[in-house]
Amino acid sequence: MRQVFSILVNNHAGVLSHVSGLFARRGYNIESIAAGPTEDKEVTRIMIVAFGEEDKLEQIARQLRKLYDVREVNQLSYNRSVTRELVLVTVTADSEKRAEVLQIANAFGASVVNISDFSVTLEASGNDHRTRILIKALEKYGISNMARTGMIALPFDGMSEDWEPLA
Amino acid sequence: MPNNDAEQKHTFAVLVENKFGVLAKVASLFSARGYNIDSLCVGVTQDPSISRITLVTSGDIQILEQIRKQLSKLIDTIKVLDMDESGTAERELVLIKVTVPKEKRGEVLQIIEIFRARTIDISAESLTIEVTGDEGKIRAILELLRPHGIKEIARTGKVALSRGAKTLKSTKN
Repeated sequence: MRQVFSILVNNHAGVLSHVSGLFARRGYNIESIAAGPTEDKEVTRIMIVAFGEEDKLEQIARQLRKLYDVREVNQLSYNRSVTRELVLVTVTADSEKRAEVLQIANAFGASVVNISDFSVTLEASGNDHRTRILIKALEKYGISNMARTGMIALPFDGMSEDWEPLA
Repeated sequence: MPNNDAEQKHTFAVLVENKFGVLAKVASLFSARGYNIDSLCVGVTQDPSISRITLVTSGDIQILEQIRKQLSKLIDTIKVLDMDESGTAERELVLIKVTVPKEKRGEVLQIIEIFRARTIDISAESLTIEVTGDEGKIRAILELLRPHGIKEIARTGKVALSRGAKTLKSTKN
């Protein structure tokens, strides 16, 4: 099972190391992590995507809640949340290949950040499925540089409790 | 002249081996010395064995230099890159949930359009918005949405790529 942990913590030095240490000690490789400020200056939100058995994830959540400086732990199910990730990617493309790369960018709604004689840098956002397809499409040209933010998520509002995603 | 003692923000991109525990080591490096991390994000690079950690921290020049040295010393660190603002493209992604009754929806949708943001979820009394941009743009849209009542925000933290020809390969030791 794949789960997104949305963890609200006090913005103190050391919190992140406690949180990531908890996963590391149990031999969990975190799939992605993103930590950023919230509306409240004192509070930071850490988003972690982890993969594991349901009871193991449940156990991790319980232990997270026990940590000092952790205010709130929300487990967001993948199907009931909007998930997004931002990717900056530099693709090798000389003037001949540039049009092709821009076409792909266009199809994915990615925007161009920079163009040089032999490369194009793109900014793309989407859920992990979408970003994976885009990166796959760009790999053909040669990716020279890439930076990803890791996943963030917010629960859907506009759906009833018994909503089930389409298969 | 820049003041060397002044507290400043700095962005580091750290290329590390993609193993579990590496992030914990990086994080504990900061906590052990009481340095705070403003934002942090981790993702794999085009080479699946390498992860890129982008982190924003603050301190005076000595502290930042210290941090750079400590990061370079970690066994799993491949390379530490300085992301100074002039030579890099910086972006952040933010999801914002705004409380907005039907009558006010038009106003919010207008803000969304101006900032080239996207609506990704809508319900009777709320809108969820996706927006990407640099720090200034994000601050501006949050400022405009605040009066409408922001219910929830999730931010990725900043990622940065150098604009020039420098690549991961050419910088790898």
